[in-house]
Order: sequence, then structure tokens, then C-alpha cells
Amino acid sequence: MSSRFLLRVICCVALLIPVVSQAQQTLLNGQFKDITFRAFVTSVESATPYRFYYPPAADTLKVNTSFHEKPLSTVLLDIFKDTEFKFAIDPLNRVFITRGIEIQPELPPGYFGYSSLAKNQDDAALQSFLAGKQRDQQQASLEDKLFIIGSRSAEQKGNPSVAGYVRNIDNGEPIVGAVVMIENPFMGTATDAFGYFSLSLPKGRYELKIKSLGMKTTRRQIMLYSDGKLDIEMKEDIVSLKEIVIESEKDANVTSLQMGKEKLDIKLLKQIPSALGETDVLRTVLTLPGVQSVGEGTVGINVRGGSTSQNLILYNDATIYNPSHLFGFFSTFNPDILKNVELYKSGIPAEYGGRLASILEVTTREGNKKKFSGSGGISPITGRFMIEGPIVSEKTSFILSGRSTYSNWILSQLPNETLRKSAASFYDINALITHQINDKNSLQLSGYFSDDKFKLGNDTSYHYTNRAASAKWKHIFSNRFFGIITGSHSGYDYAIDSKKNPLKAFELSYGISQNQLKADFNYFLDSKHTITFGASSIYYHLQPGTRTASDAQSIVTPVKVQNEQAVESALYVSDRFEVTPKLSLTYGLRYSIYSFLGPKNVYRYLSGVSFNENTIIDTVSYTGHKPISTYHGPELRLAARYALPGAASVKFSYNRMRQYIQMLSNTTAISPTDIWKLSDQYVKPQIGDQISAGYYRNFRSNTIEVSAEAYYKLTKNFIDYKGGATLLLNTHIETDLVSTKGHSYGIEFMLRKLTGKLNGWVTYTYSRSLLQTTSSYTADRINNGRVYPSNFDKPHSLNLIGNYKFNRRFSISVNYTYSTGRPITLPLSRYDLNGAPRLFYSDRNEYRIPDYWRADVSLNIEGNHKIRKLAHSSWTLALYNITGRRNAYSVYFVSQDGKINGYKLSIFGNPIPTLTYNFRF
Amino acid sequence: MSFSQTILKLLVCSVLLCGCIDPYKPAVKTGAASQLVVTGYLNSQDGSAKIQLSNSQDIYNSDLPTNITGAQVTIESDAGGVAHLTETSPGSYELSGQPVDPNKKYRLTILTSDGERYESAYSQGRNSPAIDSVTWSLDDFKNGVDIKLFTHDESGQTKFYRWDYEETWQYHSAYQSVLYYDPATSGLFRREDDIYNCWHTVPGFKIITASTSQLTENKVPGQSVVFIPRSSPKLLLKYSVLIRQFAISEDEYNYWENLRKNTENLGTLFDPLPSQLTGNILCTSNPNKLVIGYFSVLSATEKRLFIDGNKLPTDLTSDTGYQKCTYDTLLIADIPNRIRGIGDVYLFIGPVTQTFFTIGFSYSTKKCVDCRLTGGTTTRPAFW
Repeated sequence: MSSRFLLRVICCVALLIPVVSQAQQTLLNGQFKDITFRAFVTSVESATPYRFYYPPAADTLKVNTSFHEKPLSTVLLDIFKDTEFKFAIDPLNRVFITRGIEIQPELPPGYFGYSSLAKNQDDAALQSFLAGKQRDQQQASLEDKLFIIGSRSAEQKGNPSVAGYVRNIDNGEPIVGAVVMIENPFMGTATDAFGYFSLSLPKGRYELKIKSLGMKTTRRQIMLYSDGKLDIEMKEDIVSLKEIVIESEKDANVTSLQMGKEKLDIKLLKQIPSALGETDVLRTVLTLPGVQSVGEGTVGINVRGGSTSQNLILYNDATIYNPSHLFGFFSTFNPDILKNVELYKSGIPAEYGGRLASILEVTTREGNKKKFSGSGGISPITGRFMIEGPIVSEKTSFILSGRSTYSNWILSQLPNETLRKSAASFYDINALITHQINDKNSLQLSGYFSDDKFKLGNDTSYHYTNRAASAKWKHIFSNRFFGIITGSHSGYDYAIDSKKNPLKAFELSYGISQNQLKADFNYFLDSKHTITFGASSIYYHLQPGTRTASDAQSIVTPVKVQNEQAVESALYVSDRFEVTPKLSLTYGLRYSIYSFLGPKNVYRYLSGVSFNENTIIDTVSYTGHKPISTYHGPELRLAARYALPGAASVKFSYNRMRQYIQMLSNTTAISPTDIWKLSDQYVKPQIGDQISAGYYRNFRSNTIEVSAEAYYKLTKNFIDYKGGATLLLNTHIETDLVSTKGHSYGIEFMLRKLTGKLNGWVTYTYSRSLLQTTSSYTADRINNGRVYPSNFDKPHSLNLIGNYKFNRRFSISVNYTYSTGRPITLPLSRYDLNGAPRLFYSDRNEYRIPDYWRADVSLNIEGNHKIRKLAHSSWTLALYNITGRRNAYSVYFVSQDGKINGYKLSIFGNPIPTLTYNFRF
Repeated sequence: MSFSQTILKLLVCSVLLCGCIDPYKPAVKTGAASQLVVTGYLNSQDGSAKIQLSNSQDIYNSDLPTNITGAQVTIESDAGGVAHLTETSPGSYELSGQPVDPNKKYRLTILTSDGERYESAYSQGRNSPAIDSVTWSLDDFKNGVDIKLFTHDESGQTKFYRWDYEETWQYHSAYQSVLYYDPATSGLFRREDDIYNCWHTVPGFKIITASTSQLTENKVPGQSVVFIPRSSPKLLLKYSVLIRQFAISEDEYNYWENLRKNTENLGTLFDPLPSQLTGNILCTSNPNKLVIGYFSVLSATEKRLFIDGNKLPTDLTSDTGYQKCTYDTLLIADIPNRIRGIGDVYLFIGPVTQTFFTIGFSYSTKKCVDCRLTGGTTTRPAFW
């Protein structure tokens, strides 16, 4: 601590030259700018015989003064002007600083018969004792000390505000989403992605409460006079391992304005049993109400009846197009560097746009600003490692992590030759640098890369990569106003290489990239209004497919589907309005404008009939970067909360979203070879409206949360496919697509207990997701224009997650999940063709696969709690699918030797034990 | 290999070591309106046609399909000519010697006895180019024999191909019988017929199509037609396959491709979703009624390949299909008591001798002795 302050003094231009006058009184020369009182004391003490004794509260003072040949008393008078502090200097050059009451350093002469007698040794002993105690007590004493915010005499229009950063005391990382609040009357705010908060209150004295997931709740006493700064450091709640998670946002469920938002902290993520021994963000998100997937081997999520491509997945503000590794058994996010995951299902804030169903924000940690540390883990399929530390202490930090699989090695050990020559591997790398330029400016650079390869035997190989980079600059204009400028780049590429037959050898590649620039501003108008506004612009560039001959002998025709490019821009403004302590509103408007740009040759089709290759009548050539088609429209966002008596509230929200890029996939799950398509004159942008309402209530002093949320969603221009559609390398893709109208509705119930030895949640969701083709042409209608269930329509879903903590080292987690089987198209009748039976199928999605249920259990064993040891380790022993139920992953029928046989494929058809070792140092 | 198959195999057999496939019979509605199924084509070379009409049936109904009898089936040309097909066997309507004009288009019309009328789209004859060669080789991992076809079309007219094939193989039963039991006299006599040596002929079930529209040259560079897995008894003695090649239209190619995707290539979440498909035949009297089938005017070119079993590595042909066969001996002393019982159930193989004396007669199950019971015939095919 002390060296830190010393450094600061040097940095802050401190100059102190003692001049000893004849009158035995030390005169000082100095110049101090914005340094703490403590630093001032240190510098005076080092240059003069003065010794200071002062209450911790004095440290809130900022010293801004310069003086020339002045005695200390004059200097102190100047510093303490307009404050409650008083001082006294005794003949032994001891300076006593008090608050409110002035002390007399000396008893009246002759009171005891002798004048003040001080022993220098005692004095030194006292000093060293105080220094030792200081660090331990600092946190506690900070909670009791009164911080003076602003200056008593400052002119202040309206309510003053207090602003600052909330950071982790151990590593200096900002704490995101920490609640800074006063309880009576209830007023509060949450820290942003930089740990920054600003709270506007009437002048006066308050007790601020600061709460955050996994951190010890702390308090600060403030005396608010005018706009001022208060940085707060929080300690990690190491003792209470699990239950903290709940405590921190205990009442957020009821008090927060946001609805349909779920936040998962990494600590929570880590205790959920997983099939492959690795914490998986997306799989945990699947246990939340309203989130489903089509099968257990996939990480694509379906939020409230939306498709997997209607989720905007942001990794430190950069879009991720394919969040899966190894066909979807792993998500692409390395758990070691994650901080938290936020999912918005409804009431989506105006700053987000571009996808209909949800926003999934994945945020990584920033790296330890104080010391180097690392962590890693070994599970049956993957190994991972992470290292973090300061580059410049307190200012700049980095975090770097990598993860890879040894599945290739496993394959090479197998007896089957085909499998030995197969490959399935992936890796990912993450890096992040944060730099605190000064109090007003900070910078964050984030990079991400993932790579997957697989092939069976020496046949076709598949290779895909994700990349994302972002740079974020935050500038604080004033206590009430700050802005963030973010530039990001995202890309996704895949390549298929087939070499088996040299004459037909080919390589097919696909690529999408987007560059985005956005600016977001936040203005705390007063205690009732917080205004956010901003603008963003995305440039998309797609290479929808190129096929080239990959062997000199190959006679494959090279094909290149024309590149596509587009610009999507948006402006938004939103106001969060605390109408009364009971009623708060957020209302905002986002206006997005999209242009599909040339150069491109566009087919024109005969009007009045269904598009197909034979109805192409003309080709129009667009050159340059000129708009071919443009769409724009407003997106209204509304949210309201009304507090009811007894820790309860009702919330309502409405939002409209517009989506200009769609994924084309006629398979049930996300597949690495799915392609994205920009809206053009034939593929209209998707528009979704969602209305939702909910009731929230907490019981037993916020330890038990109950909520119910209902929603209705209407989607326009959702894409489905004609039977037997070809999506890849299709130069006239519009002929294979049909436009549908979607209706989704549902109700979600949640019961959650987040504290105590036993904690966890139970959710039940009833939801439907239905589609209907809108075309007037028979060829473009599915099920003859009737309403049919989407591929991910699973009406009933029940999830239970329970943790029981035996003691600090052992805890057990149980997970149970049930859902209705997904819809499927089944064969209804058979017929013989050339001697072999063939199938005739039902209407699309007329049937369902069997219901799904599964129970898992995991035991977490923490290493001992000695503070000093080489590495802290933990073991997780998990048993996935305890009952070994063979849940159907898919159901299919094949014609084999003249018979029709139906089969059910289960991926995890047996109980799967895994043991994972994690360490951190 | 398709993407989805790759994934399926990797999922099931390697990475997780725990995937499993179980038989599954979902309950689907039965008695759904059955559809008319039309197969067959007009052969432009000899002007013959064999059109088979049947009904589709419920998925789990394993009876033979019901044939549609008593329908009036005609092939009409766009120039007005009409040829009537005659029902030669139930559901099978034939025509022969009808001259086919390569410049005219033909269509199929069907009037069923329940009064529904069906019409196909008009189709023009296409000549199939000759098959260049049919070759066989062991596949890369020695898992079996891969039979490939090479063809090309110099005229450049054929861009879409379909093949069907017929496999024939020679095989022996487990034991060569020289005796037969006559129940009338309860005696054993020398067998004159050969029930040891058989030829089995089966039509291919797979749909095989290829397109050269994505290639710079109009040639099919090695299309896999048949794959015979290593354990198959087909390769034991001698094997033959006859491949017929058709040049088809793009529309017909799409029909077969969809049919193939729907029934041969479904399994994982990464497979395309199945779809309803019909073909180029419509029910004109009731447009809501679905018809399955594709009628076209085709010509076939053929090529036959033989594979001699002793040219293959011995470890490839270990499985005879008769490994489980054993025989027993009826001792001469037991003949009076047991010959009747054994003779009714089993087939005798031959005498069992011990130091020059016949002590009894060996016998085994009928299936192990009579090769015809495994599906073959004892008649040597003309091409063999």
C-alpha cells in the first residue's frame, strides 16, 4: 500500500522543500495536485520532523494546494477549509487531526506539575503498530468512515451525483453489475461494464450499500455536497463459496426494472454437472426458463420459440457466428476467463438490435491488475490454461487463455483403421488487455480465435474458424456523462476439402465477416432520469461459397456464388425514468436502416408465379457499392415496473426487433456448414414483436424468489425451406426459400433459493412455437398453408438445479431436466419402388420424438483452505445421465435389404462419469 | 461421404464411445389415404414398357403391396398416337414393339377402376451413352469391395445419370448331399439333382444417380455403384453385377435425389429434413390426391462385371453364411426307429464310414443342405 501511495505522490507532481526559519518553526514550500491526504502526510513526514495522527476519514480529502514558505499550520488551515476537520500541533511536532471537535494538545501548564513529556521510542512503536493494523482494518474502517463528496461551498444545480468505479480489491478488476444503492428511500444503480457507476441524490448524508455477485457486500458513509468521485473496492467472498451468488442480487429480481433477463456468474456455471467434464456456458443457459435446444449434442439455443440464428451472441461486444466446437458438444467459450453471461429474452434495451429472439452477452474477466496468477483444468477430452497479470501495476493488465482437445490422440489409439485415420480436434485462444489511461479514460482490447477440424477416414475434411476482436474506449466527460466507443470485427469461415477421388477433388469455402463501429453514451440527468443514446454501423461482407478443383486432375467446375455486402446502421435513445419509488419506466426508440449493396447480378422472376429456375426472366447487374435494396424502420422498446407491497412487483415490456441477416439451414441442429444470408430484395428482413408481463415476489427476507412471466411473440418473414432445398452453392437461393409467419407464446415459472446450504432453482415452462407459410402459391406453402410447429416447439419443459453444501470443501449438485420431444416428420406409408420399400412422409413436424429427461449429479471437492500454497486445486466428479436413459437424439427410418426399419439414436445413452481437475495459482 | 454421415459415424463410434442406436417404432396414424404408386418407363430402344401400379400401405404393414388391377393404362404421344397397355399380371401393364419417335414426347395416362384419372407430364426420349467400364477394387481400409463405373458422353447431352443394377453370385450350401430320403418307401436313394450349387440374383435397392453439371468435362469419373462388405458371402466363389445406365432429365434427377435423401440418408440432426415428394404424375380428377412416381422415356445401356472369389485376399471372404451348420449321424442300427422322424425334418448328406464300413448316414438341417432355401436357384444363368 505505502509504495503505491509513494508512487502516486511522485506522479502527481509533488514538491516539498522544508525551509527552517530562525524562529524554530519549519516553513514549507510545496505544490500538491489532487493527491490524497495520506500522501500529503507521507511527504510532509519525510521532509520534516512533523508526525501526523489522523482519523481514517481524513483520507477522503483531496489536497490541492501550493504554498511558499508557509508554516504547517497555515497550510493545514487552507487544506481543511470548508471541512469539518480541525488540527492541533504539539511542541513535539505531533499533528493531531480531528473531526468536529478541536483538541488542545497540551494540558494547561503545571496541570500535573510538569509539562508534556513525550518519549520518542513510544512514538515510533505506535507508528509501526498502526501501520500493521492498517491493512487489515482498512476495509472495515472504510465502511465506518465518512467520505466527503464534493465541497460544502460548491455551487450545485439540481441534485449532486457521486460517481466512481467499483473494483475487486485483490486484482483491481472492475466489478460489473454491482448494485450501488441507498435503502431508504430505495434508490440505486448498477455498475456498467467498466465497473463505473453514477448515482444522483439530494444533498445529505447516506449509507451506500454496494452488492455484487460473489463479493462481500460493503457499505460507505457519504456526505454528499456536490458532484464528486468515490471509488470503491470490494473483497471477494471466499468463505461462502456458493451461496453468495444469490445474496448479491437478492432483491434484484423484484427491484430491477429489467425483465426477461438472466445473469449467470461463472461460479454458478462451474457447479452445474456437465457431460464432458467442462463448464459450459450455453448448456447452463439451457437450464433457464424459456431456453431450449433441439438435442443434447447441440449448443444452439432456442429462446422463447426463436430459431438458433435469432440470438445475438456477443463476446466482449463482438458477434460470434458459430458458438460450437466438435459438432456442438462444447461451446466455444473457455470457462477460465469468463466473468459472466447475460441473456436478455424480453425487454431488450434499445442499445441492442439486429436479432429477434435474444441477446446473449458473454463477458470475460479483465485480468489481475495487482499480481500474476493462472489457472487451468484437465478433463477427459480437453485441457485448458489461463494466465493473467499486470503489465503496468494498477493500470494495465492482461489475460490470456487457451484450450485444446486431445481427441485426435484418443482416435489414434483406436483399433479401427478408419477411425485411426479420422480427426476431430479444436482449439481456442482468448486474449484481453485493459488499460486505465487515467481517471477519465480507459481502453480495452479483446481478441478471440477458435478453430475446428474433423474428418472421417481419409475422406472429406471439414475445417472452420471463428474470430472476433474488439477495442473499447471509455471516456468520462463528467460525473454524469460518459461514453463508450467500440470497434469490432467478427468473422466465420469454413472449408470442406474432398480428396478421395482425384478426378472429383474439390475445396469449398465459405466466409462471413462484419466490421462494426458503435458509440454509446450514458447521461445521468438527475435522480429520476438516466438517458442512454448512441449509434452503430455494421458493414457485412459475405462470400457465400466458392468451389475450386483441389487436384490437378480434378474436373470439378469452379463455382463462385457472388459476394454479398450490406450496411446496417442504427440510432437509439432511451430514458430510464423513476416516476415514483414504486413505478419506473424505460422507454426508448431504435431506428435501424439497412442497405443491401452491389456489386451483384440479380435475377428477376416472372411475377405471379412461384420462383423457380424456369421463371427467371432477366438478370440485372448492379455495379459499385450502390444500394440494391434498402429497408428501415423504428423499433420501439418499453419496460415498466411497479412495486407492490411486501417485496413484490409486476413488470411489463414490449419490444420490436428487426433482423437483417439470417441463417439458412435445413437441418435440425446448427451445423458448421450452415450459411448466413443477408436480406435482399427477395429475402425480407425478419421483424419480431414481443409483449411480456411478469409477477415477481421474494419471500423470507429475499432468500426465496418466485416469478412468473408470460409472453407472446409475433414474427414476420421467418425463413423455412421447400422440400429438398439446396442451400449450398445455390446461385438462386430465393427459389428454395419460403417465408413464414411465426407465433410463439408461453409462460415461465421459476422458484429460486439462492442462500443457505441448500440452494438452487426449479423452473417450469409451457411454450409453443408455431409457423405458417404466407405465400399464395401452392409450391411455396408448407402443409398446405396450415399452422405447423417449428422444429424447436417443445411445449413442456421442467428444470431443476439443486446444490447442497456439506461444508466448505464438499458440495453436491443435482440437475434434472425434462422436456417434450421435438417435432419430427415421420413416414406414414411405404411403397415399393424397384423392389425396395420407400417411404411417404407425414405433414411437416406432425409427430414428436419421445420426451426427453435426464438426471445428473456432481460432487465438487475443493482443496484445503490454506492461504499459502503452490496452487489451489479442486476436483469435480460428475455422473451425467445417472439412469442411463436412452434419450432420442434423433429418430430415422432406413430401407435396409428390402425392409423399413426405424431407429432411435441416443448420444449419451449410458451414465457418463467424468473427473475434472482444476487448478489456480 | 456426406457431412451428416461423417458426423453420425464420429459421434457414434469414436469421440464419445457411448452413443447407441436402438430399434424404434413410433405410433403413427394408420389407414391414411393410400397413394397410387407408379413405376416403369417407356424403353425408347425396343418400344416396350412395363408399368407397375400399386398402392402405398401403412408403414408397419409388411404384406406385399396391393396391386391395382383393372386400370386402363395408355401411353400417348404429343402428336396424338395412343397405345394401350395390357395387364399381363395383377398390377403389371405391358406394351411391346411400339415404335418410339425420338422427336416426339410421350406421356402416361391411367384410368383406375374407381374412376380416378392420372396423367404424367410429357417426356422425350433420351439415349444413354455407353458405359465405358466397370471396375472393382478393395477400398482404402480393406473393408470390402468397391465397384465403380466410368462413363462419359461425347455429345455432351447427358448431364444426369441414373443406374440400377442386379447382382448375381454363386454359392454352395454347407454340405453336398448325395442321398435323399423317400418318405413313401422310407428308403434312402442316390440324389440326382444338385442342391449344393446355387446362383442368387437380387435387384439392387440403392438409388444411384450422378450429375456432371458441376464438372468441366462431361464424364463420370468413377461412380461407386455397389459396395460389398468384407464379410459378405457374395464374394466366396464368383460374383457378377449387371449395371444398367439411364440418361435422365434434371427434373427426374431431382426426384430420385430427393427420394434417396428421404429414405437412405437420414439419421442425425445434421441431415436434411425429410420432405414429401411425388414426381411428374398428377391426379387430374382430384388434384388433392397425391401420386408417387416418375414416368419418362428412357433407353438403357448395360455392362456386366464378374469377380472371381479366388482373386480376393482370403481374409476378405471368411463368412460363408453357413458357419453355424453342424451335422449328425444316424447309425445303421437306429435306422428302423429313427429314419422317419429324421427324414421328415432333415436332409441326408451321405454315408459315414469307419474303416471301410458304412456305419450310418449324416444329416443336417434343410437350410444347411439345400442351397435354394437361402434364396438362390440351381439353374445356371445364361450369362454365367
